[in-house]
Amino acid sequence: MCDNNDKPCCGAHKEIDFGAADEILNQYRGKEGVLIPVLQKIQAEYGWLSQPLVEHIARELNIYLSEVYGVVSFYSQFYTEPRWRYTIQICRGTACHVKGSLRILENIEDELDVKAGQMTKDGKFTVEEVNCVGACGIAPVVILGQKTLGSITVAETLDALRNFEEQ
Amino acid sequence: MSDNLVSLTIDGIKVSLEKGSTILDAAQKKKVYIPTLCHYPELTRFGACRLCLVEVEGFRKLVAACTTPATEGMVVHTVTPEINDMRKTVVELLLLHHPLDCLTCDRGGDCELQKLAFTLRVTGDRFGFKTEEYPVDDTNLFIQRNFKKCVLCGRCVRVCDETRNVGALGFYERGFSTVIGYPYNKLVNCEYCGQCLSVCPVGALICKLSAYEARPWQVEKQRSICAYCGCGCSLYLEHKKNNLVKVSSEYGMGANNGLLCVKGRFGYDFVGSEKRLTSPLIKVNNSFKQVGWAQALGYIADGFKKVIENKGAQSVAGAAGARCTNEADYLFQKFMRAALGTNNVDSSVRLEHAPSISAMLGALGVAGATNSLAELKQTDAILLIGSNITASQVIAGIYVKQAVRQYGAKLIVIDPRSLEISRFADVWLRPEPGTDLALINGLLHIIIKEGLQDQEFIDKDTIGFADFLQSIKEYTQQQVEKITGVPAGQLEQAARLFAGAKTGSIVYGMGITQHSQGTDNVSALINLSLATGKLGRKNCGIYPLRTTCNSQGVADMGVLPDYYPGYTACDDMDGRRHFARGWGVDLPDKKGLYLPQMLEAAKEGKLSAMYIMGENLLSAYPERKQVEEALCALDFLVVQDIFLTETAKMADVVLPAASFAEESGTFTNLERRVQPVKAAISPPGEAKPDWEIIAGISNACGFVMDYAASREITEEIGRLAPLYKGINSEVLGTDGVFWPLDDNNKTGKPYFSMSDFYEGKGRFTAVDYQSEAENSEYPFMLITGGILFHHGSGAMSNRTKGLNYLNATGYVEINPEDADRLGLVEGDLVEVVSAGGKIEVKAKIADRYRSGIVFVPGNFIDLPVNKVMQVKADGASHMPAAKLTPVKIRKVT
Repeated sequence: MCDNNDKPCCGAHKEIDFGAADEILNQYRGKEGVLIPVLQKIQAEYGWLSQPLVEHIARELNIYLSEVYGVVSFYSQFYTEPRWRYTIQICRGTACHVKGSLRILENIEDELDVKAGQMTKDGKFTVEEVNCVGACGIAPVVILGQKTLGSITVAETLDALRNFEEQ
Repeated sequence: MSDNLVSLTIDGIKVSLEKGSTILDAAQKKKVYIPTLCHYPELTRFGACRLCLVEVEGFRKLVAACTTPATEGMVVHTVTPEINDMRKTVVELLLLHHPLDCLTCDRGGDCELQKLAFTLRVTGDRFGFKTEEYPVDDTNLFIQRNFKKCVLCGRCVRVCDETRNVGALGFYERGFSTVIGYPYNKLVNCEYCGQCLSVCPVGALICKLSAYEARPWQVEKQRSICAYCGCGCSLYLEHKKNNLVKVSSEYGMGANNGLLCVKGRFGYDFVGSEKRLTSPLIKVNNSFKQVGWAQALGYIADGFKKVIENKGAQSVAGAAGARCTNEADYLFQKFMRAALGTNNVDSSVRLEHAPSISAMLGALGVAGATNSLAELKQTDAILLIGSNITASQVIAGIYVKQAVRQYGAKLIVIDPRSLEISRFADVWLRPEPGTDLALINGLLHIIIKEGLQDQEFIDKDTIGFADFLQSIKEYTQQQVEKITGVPAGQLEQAARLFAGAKTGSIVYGMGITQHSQGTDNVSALINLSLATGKLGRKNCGIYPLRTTCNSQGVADMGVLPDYYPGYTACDDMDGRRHFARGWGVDLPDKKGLYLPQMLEAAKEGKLSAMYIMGENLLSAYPERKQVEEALCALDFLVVQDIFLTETAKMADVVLPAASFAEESGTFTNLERRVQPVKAAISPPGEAKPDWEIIAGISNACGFVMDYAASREITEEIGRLAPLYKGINSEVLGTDGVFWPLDDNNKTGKPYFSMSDFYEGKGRFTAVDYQSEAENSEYPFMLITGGILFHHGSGAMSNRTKGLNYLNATGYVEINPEDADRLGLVEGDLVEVVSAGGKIEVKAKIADRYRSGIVFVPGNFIDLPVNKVMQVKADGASHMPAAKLTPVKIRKVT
């Protein structure tokens, strides 16, 4: 069993079904420069890139694990910790910062009892800081799941969060 | 001015050099100092540290000298106030993280950052910025990583990836959080070679074995040669107060280009072991008594004399190991032949590459790799057969890997085992164990059938092609597939790949030689070289991978019952006269006993005394019982070694010898490179260099050997042994020479031309595969061999702390399917039983082998696998072959 008691299982101890990953890997095998698209597609299937998955990818593509893990840990788009399907992305770009996004972030952190970069205990949300999402006109911006909330206040954010409906 | 040169000016100095060079190359050519940190020779240019910034006239900004190409007419300034400020700031920024604990840092005094700070007068802590704390990483048994000291130059990452082709290290995270380390803190591919350690510019990587032993300025460095495998790596023995504290290397050094493996770098502390022999011992009433040298030597002389008086000179014999210097080996056979009057002298080469010697002498007239190791990198196609090269000859393995990954060579691997090197292969053939000969003949059959042979070369440079053609007729793809289990398609692919390449080399190990058809196997490989015209020029050769530091040398020195030094046949009258004159005595004309014959003769009472030097025969010989019985039957046994080995325990007299770190002389590596070995420290107690001991015994026997230093023996060898003609300490320099030398060529021949072979020709040898009957009572095939972390029979490597951390005990490796069938899980105790004997050993489940094959490493003193192994002699070379033994496996309950 996983000894991370305060978090859902890290996945390293569980048997993982590599079937979906293998299907993706088969499309790319033998080609050069495919690591990033492979990682993206596999992450889309599994939600995050667990250690056994990354090891599997390295083995199958015959790329050093050090290199694959280097890429995975470098890009913020890849997740090395379990996360739920729903991310809350708080834009921390310059415009949003000026418009008070730090306060929004702090309030969300308090509401959900997590820090940015972490997942809620029930595994429902992951809170993330992102750099400019390119919507400075409607700053501050929060992306809740699939929904983009613009020109939003702290109260409105918390409302949206409490009334969030799972798809 | 030539087209491919550019010239530029650096600090007013004119430089011209090859196009494609960088400003840094140009500066280094003229010895203009530009500070660097991330730059390291032969690694990709990184341009990360920004210390090498220089000003180029006409450029708007400062540029990095290590990545900017030198172009025609460039005017470069390396020292300006602006540059100085920049560099200073770079160092100050590096010191943000870097603790200023130079007082206790293991690298203090030998640290590139410290040197830069000193040069640029940086005192540190300009910004007063608190950075994150990281715990030190102790994942690696030998190497500690301190993240705060790391300057992220990436040298360790690049050397691991680009030079070693191991890829254990990487950069993780980004920005301020960037760290270098192992993925998930797991040592995935790490081979513990410590090359990362050798390139780290600062104290971020520290060797745990030698940390805090000595300050860099307290140690003396002696350049010498590694005592493990046949690659013959140059290294520095760092010593303080007669203790070895560290082994290190330097980029570009020796046959190994400054690379070392785990054994060479971390396996040295057997030298300082408390178990070393420190005084001569004589057995009295079954226990050893310490005696002085004079008494021991007198006792030995009397012992030999008595046997010879009673039973004749043919009743004594000598056997030498492959770890001693050429000088000791030369004196050893000289003593046996000239002082005692017998050709009964052999070496442990009989157990590894005797088939190579007999096949190569027969076909080419030379015995040894035809080309140098470095050439492997430039070879277009490499055929590697019967060798776990990345474990047993690591540096040769690196060159093969570099050939594939860095230079685009094609690699054909032929081995039933799934090995580290298999991952690099373009074609990997997996024949049934013991069917190599059918497979090689099958490749030749395809080559001839498809007309891929080099007919011009065959007509001009070879003999015996017609007979050979007849001999391979029956080896059709179908037939070979049936025997070897290798699909015809793969065979064709391999044949075309090798024959079609411009240059190609064959590299083979004991998987080829340790068989009852060992000599035939090697002959078949030579046929393959000849038929495809891949011999007798640069980058085209054949490499027998010798297993020990002086395996090549001990045979060259004539520690063989049928050859004098330099492979002069004993029954060749002129040759015998030459040595008789040189040594001033008559020499026996009859060829002596081969090692297996010696053991037989001892058991039959025809041999009564033996002198064994530097070999633990009991462990090394493939049939332990043979040796036990033979040695027990002797009247008188003298063993000279560095430890009280099992063999030494059976002796009447034991003599304490010096180890490689305490003895001077020469070793000859597997590429025929004769290299100087230099003593760094003095031997423990009363121990003496091997050559001094032999000379002492000889003098006591009345045959005078008067040498003041090993140098004089080197010179005598250079005078008398044909292949070593002209070799002396002066010619050897630091990098050594490839034998043979001639008058116009003082560094020797890295590769042989056809004219260097006997009568300038290569001879085809018709060889036929003979199948061996299967035995249903013993359904498993036992393969024995070596592992990365140990060497030979373990006499040295089992006695080092570091290597034992990694792997201290043996095991039997079993395929998961077989394990399931036998109801075994990892760690179960099993019995491995052959018709000859049995051992108990723990099971290790791994899928490197196919079902039906089990593997036991032969490197462990505590696991005498030779109790199980069964010898079949290779007729031509008298090799006691035992690569394969039919066994059964039983779970011990």
